[in-house]
Amino acid sequence: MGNLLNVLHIGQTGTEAAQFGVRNTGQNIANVNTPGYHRRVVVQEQANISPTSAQKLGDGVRVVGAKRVIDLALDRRARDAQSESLASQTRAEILSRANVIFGDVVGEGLSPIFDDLLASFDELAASPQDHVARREVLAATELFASETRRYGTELSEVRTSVDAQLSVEIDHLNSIVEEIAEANRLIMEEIKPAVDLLDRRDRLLDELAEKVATRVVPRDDGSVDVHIEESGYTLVAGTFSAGLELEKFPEGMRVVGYGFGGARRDLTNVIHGGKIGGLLIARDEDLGVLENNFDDFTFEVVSELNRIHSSGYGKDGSTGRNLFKELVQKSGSARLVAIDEAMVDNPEGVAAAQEQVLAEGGNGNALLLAAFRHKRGVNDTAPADALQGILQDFGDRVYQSEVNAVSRADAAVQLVELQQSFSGVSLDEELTNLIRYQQAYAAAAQVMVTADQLMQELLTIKR
Amino acid sequence: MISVQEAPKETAVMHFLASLEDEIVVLNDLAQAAAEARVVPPDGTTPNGLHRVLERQAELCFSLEGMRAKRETLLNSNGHSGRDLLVVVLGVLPKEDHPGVVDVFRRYIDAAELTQREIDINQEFFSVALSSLEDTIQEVVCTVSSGDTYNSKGSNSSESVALCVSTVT
Repeated sequence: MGNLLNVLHIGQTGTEAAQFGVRNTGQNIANVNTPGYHRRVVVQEQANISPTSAQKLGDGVRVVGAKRVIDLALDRRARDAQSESLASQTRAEILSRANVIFGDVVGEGLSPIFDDLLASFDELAASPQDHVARREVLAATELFASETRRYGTELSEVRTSVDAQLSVEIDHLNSIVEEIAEANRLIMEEIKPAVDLLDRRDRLLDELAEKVATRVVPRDDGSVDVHIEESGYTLVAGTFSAGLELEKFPEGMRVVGYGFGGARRDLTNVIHGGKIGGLLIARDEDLGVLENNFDDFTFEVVSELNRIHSSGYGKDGSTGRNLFKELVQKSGSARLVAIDEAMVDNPEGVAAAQEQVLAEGGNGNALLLAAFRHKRGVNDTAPADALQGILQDFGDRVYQSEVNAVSRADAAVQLVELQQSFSGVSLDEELTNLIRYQQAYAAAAQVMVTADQLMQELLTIKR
Repeated sequence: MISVQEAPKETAVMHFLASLEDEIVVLNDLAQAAAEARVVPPDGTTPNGLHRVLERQAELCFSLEGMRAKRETLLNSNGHSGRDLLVVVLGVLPKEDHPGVVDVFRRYIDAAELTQREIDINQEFFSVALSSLEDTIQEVVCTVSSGDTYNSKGSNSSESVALCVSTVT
């Protein structure tokens, strides 16, 4: 009886092993499209088989478990590439949004409006007594001011929307780091962590890398520490997590972390990669530069034209009047620029004359206003060229960001494909495995039938 | 153990016993190969995979069948049935040799029963494995036949389904 039970046990262990293998292949196939799933192979070993003792033959087979097919270096490269790709993609999306506002096409946009303003000074210099020419100056000034204000305001709104996006992404990042810490805890509790749990943590690490570039450092206890790449800031240390926050500073919203010690650290300039990295680059480097340049340009144009205008005389004999409302600081100039209230509907107040006695028909000041066209200002360029340069620089950034996004995406796809070819599930391969198993098992079953018939005959010797 | 050169008049009997000793070796090899069949990879791509083990078992079965046929032919030519081997041998040899003869037979039966046991296990093992494998293939066919599954490289799985279905049938 004991022998029979032993036989049944051996058969059972073997059958379980075979079923485990088939189930594993089935699971691989079922997860062919699951992001972050690593193909698994069955690890089994012979149980207590001694080739020298016939009596001990066939004690069975033992399944050690399923092992993930994983190349950590390749996984890290793929994760980094995805992080950089998302940063580039996010940056390109934001710039593309701003480009809708600033996209200058020939004959449209701010450049021709600025040209019209400068041309109106030429007309005024040619016909200082002409009422229409004076009205043209005011109309061109008002249009330039309102369009500049619109551009400045919309640009500021894009930057504000980036802050809102940052807030959402940081909240998401914080929930991910908490989940990673929890996964670490579960993994540390198990002597031999389930592959599902390891896959889950890897997926979380992938999701985290989609927010910021990270460096993952495995510990001996099975947990991982996660740092923000190149910053040294620790997001996860074993079972503890320290997320990020978006805080208001005088210069704007900043990304800060309090770490495990509670000391505030401004990480805005060190974060790169992932959506948060992309948003910060777009906000601070691209839109920030554009906004500063645009403010500088506006401030310089307004200040210089006000200086010239206020030194001349209007047809009504007035002097000391600004053409534009005075700006007190460069920052925010584009959003605040407006025609001076005293000049609204006041063509007689346009200061074309350089001297009071010539207030009625003089054009000395109008010539100075017209000469502003050639004044070398920021970067030693004429004002119209300076505006063109700002728009051109932004256009270059938009183009560069698009090209960068495409090339980063290509690189990421290639690395993910490489990683998938190693760790991912190939449906064809798994199905081929199943069919190969099927053929092998069918052949084995047939051999056993033949062997059984032979053994029946051999054992007749016993009867 | 009985020596096959013990007495000229008993040469035929000694030959039978020597043949049994050879069969015991082959039976043990067969038992070992049968046990091995359950733990080797069934993929057929590795040098020591299941196909190789199955071939080995087929060769051993072929050898055993040859030995058995030869033994029975000899017994039949002397007017005995194949089942009468022990009776014939004990009838020819003197009594003092009987314990040795019984020992050979006992070892032969032990080896044959051990082999039979391994084969019984394998019959159940491969029958269940084959059955669950075919269930899995069927499930896979149903899963991937939904038409919108793609592998990680972007290719559609429909070609694989067709391959699977045609092979199952």
